[in-house]
Amino acid sequence: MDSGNGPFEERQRRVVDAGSAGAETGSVELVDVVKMFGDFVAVDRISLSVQAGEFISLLGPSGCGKTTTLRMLAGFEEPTSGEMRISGQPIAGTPPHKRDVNTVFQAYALFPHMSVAENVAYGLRQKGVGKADTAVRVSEALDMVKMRPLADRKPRQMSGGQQQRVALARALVNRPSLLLLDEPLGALDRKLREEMQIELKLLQSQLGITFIFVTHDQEEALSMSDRIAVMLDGRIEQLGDPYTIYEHPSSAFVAGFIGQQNFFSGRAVEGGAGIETDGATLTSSRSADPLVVGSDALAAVRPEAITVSETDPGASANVLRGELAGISHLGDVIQFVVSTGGGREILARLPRTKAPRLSTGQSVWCSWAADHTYLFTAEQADLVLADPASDKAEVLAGN
Amino acid sequence: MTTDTMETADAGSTAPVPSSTKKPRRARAPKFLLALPAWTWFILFFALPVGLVLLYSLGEQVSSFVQKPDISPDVWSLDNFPKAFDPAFAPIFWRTLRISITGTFICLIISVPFSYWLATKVSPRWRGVLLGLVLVPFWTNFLVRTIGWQLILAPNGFVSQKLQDVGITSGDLGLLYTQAGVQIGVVYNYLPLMILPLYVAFERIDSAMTEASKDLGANRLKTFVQVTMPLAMPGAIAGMLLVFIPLMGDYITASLLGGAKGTMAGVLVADQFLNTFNWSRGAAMAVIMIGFILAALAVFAIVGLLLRAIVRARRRVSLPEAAA
Repeated sequence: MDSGNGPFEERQRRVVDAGSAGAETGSVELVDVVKMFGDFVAVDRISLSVQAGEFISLLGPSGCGKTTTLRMLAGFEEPTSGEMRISGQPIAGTPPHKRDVNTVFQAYALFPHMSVAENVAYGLRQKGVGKADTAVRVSEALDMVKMRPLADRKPRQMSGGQQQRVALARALVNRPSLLLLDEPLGALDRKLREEMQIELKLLQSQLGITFIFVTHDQEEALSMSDRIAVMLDGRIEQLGDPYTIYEHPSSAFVAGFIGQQNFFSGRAVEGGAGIETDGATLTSSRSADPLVVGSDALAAVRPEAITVSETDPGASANVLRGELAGISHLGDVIQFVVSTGGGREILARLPRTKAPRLSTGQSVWCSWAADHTYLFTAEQADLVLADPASDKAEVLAGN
Repeated sequence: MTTDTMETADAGSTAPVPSSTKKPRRARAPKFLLALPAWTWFILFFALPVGLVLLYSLGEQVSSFVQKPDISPDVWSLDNFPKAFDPAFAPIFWRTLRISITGTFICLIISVPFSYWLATKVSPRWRGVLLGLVLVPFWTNFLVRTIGWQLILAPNGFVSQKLQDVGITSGDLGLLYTQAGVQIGVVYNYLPLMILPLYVAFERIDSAMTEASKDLGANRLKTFVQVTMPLAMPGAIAGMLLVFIPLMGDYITASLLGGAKGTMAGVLVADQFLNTFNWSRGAAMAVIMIGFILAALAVFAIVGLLLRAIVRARRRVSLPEAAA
């Protein structure tokens, strides 16, 4: 994918005039959008504003409303209430085939009776683009995803990754102002998925097309997005860039869904800047709304923030003693599982160079600095207080 | 294990045979046994009777009092075939073909929208009920159903009366014992055979296909023509075969509803066997019918392949040579 000067790269941002407040082509506006299926609220008053050319991910467990939101933008579902604008134009009532939007479907949805080239040409044919022009644009699009040599194949003769690229070319050849991607990498194996993540991000920055990417994979969202909207139960829990989402999660759910966390439940103490749990005090120096003293609360610490040592670090807070239950070597990091009794386990991850040499069964201390402790109310305790040693992202995503 | 290797082993060869080579093989029945019941059935009840018909068509009718013709090899001749092509019978062959083609297409035109609606728009709970209703006619005997249509189509029957009541026609509507009557009857009798395979075909199409088509700018009609119908083609072809072939040989519908004006080839063949007692000529007619059906199917297949070639040629995208 070299930085050529094809029409894709030259695509210019047209400004939609008159009445749309100068909204740029490719911008998306959702205002209080609600979607109900019978009594079930799939999307619950979502408001979201996406800038032209932005790569935004809708991230959440299954059933959080992310796919429904995408389908409303594509035109396959109409919102129950609320307003949606693409490029400044309201899209309510516009059928999918009249929207300047294309979708990459979860299972690719390539037409099995057409060759790769015919699949990619499909959108242009509907628009009445001439034969010669179609051929040029199709071959450009296939070159872009490196699928030109397979132009005459049928979809069933290709691997998942190849079908994925064709689906991408089929959508992008139409030069939409907005591209919707519905878990497009979900069916690929890990290595291919990571390659495609890089390629997708590159493509997006070259083309300048707005991407709305639906996924339940937090790593995918973190690695590609300009901004991430973490969704739960039809609402946006937090909207922010990957750094903010990771470093400053606004709720226990977001903290647990993005990356891994050790959660502790206890009672708020220290003027609301700490909790007491199993005789230990965990305090936080992060600037957040203090908890109500005496109320049930949660503390969260990321595995990579925790130091494991053989000797008592001698601090008054954020120290937990336990027995080393397991050591796993994950390449450049070593992961320790420390059992603190009562079935509680703490996960700690240290860079290989900083990890002490320990053996299982040994008595160890886990400690961390106060600015690594996140404090939350106990509101979402049920969601996050699964086994702390398990991968919460996967548990929550229902995998 | 063959006797040969047994002997070698008995001869006290020092090198023991590697255990992997003499792994005991589970006795396995040959795979064609799975098809044995079907083969038996087809040979007994299809191949043999057809062979017998072929044989009769070569034989000679000794007299109309002895029903069974002489089929000894020394009297074999093709004399029955020109007689079966009697100018009086030719129009009936053509009429049979016309009624069958028309009937197949009417069934197709009625079934496509219905099956599509049933497979894509009706909630799964109601689909079963509606499919059951489609099959209701099969609960009654074919003959009884067709006699029922005699009552409906009769000049003083239900259809005729209603049409006169609302003033669409002034006199009695003469549908019974006409080609139109037969046409109505066969469409009614064979419609479910078209609906079922089409329904299955439409039902199996992933809704993501039609969504992808609309997403790429095709409206509902274009989506149906370019994506849905091509994907449902196997069902449509199965339905057309299921309707066309038995319709060509239909005997009951034509004899009950057709009378003299609407008679079909099946009636003619039956007549040779049951009334004229000329089995040889009847058999020759039956053989001609089989050839006729096969020829018709071959023509349809060629036309279908041509149409497909045209559609594909129009869709083809020839890419410019790749710059290396």
